[in-house]
Amino acid sequence: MSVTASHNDQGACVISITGRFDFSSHPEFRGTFSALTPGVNVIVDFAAATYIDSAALGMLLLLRDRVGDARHIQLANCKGQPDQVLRIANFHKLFRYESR
Amino acid sequence: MSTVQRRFAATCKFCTRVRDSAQIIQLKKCPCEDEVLPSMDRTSGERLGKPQTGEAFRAVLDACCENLDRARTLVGDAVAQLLASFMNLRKIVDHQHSVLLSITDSLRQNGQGEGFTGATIQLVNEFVEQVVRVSHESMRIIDQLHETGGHVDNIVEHADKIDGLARETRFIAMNARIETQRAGESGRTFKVVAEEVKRLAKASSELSVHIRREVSECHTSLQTTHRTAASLAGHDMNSAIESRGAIIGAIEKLAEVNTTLQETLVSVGNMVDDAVRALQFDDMVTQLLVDTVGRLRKLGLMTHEMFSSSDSAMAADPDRMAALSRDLQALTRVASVTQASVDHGSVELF
Repeated sequence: MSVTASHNDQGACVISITGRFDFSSHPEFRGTFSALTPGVNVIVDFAAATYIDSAALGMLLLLRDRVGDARHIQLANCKGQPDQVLRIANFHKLFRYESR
Repeated sequence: MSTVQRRFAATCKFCTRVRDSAQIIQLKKCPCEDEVLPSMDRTSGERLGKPQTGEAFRAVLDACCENLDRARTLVGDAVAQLLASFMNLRKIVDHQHSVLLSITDSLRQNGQGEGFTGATIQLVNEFVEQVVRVSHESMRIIDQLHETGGHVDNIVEHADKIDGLARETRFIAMNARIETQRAGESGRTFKVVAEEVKRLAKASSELSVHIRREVSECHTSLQTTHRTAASLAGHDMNSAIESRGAIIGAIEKLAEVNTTLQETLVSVGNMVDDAVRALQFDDMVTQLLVDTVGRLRKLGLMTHEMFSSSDSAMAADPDRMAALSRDLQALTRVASVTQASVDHGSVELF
């Protein structure tokens, strides 16, 4: 379980999720907020994520609160269980969404 | 037994030749290979027993008519019963169809999302929304708790500063005491001031201790609150996913069953319609039987007339022969059976 932040060559901030993304990831996830610059797009990469629960959904909403606009956030490489949970919460309609 | 030699004569009904060989009569067979009706005693060389033969003919024909009438009744009754059964079957099939429709309607989700399954899916959606909201809010609470914790730590810093101030004040008080001892008598009032300062410094230190104790309580409270919020923040979503999947699966299954059952009911209905249509043969059969009975009765009458008159009387009246011949011809005309007016696609309900 880990959450890391980086920047891609388009200048967007990429938050990569590995393994389980649940409440225990909260401190780390919160920590990436300091890397966010206003007006910059954010990509949350689920490629290596194996499981998410409602805490993950809540954290994505915290991210949305911080960035200000859900359209500046993309959920990328969503598949398997994370994809199912994101869809049942209609997050595929709320955020920019790319499934695998 | 009479000793008089009896001579028998008989007319073959098929080849119409008179046979009077005793042997032939004995064999009861005409050389044309068909049976010969036995006749009564010959008397004056004329053809004997024709009226009685005529009666026998008529009796046979009447018996045929009776059978045909009975057949007509039997067929009519049977058809009526079959029709009633099929009508009943049709009613049952239609009733089942409407029952099926009402069930699927109440279960299915229509355009407005109503219906039992629509309501259930709606419930799952609301549950998910609630869970997400609780997670979101509880993590916001946790963030607030961190902020509050920060402020509480600031209080501790201020308490440290108070301690520092108290220490400095004690030094001042110490220095003041030394000065008062040096000053002697004139330093007495100053000594009081110095004592007060010392007392204030002690009070400050004690206050600082209280503050630290309260801060400690704050920290404990914050930790408890943090634990509570943490317990609310995470909730597994897999049960919701499974529920929704199960409901959607059930809807699809229901749609399948609905289609299959509807098709079955429609084809059963069609089969019943076909059977009812086929039963209308009854009408044609009745006409055929009535026609046959009519002809047989006419034949009976004509046969009786033929057998009642003598040959010579017949031969002497060619008009009568011609009339008889015409009548017989008329009987051989093919009966026209009119079919009840039934289109291929419709059924007469009677």
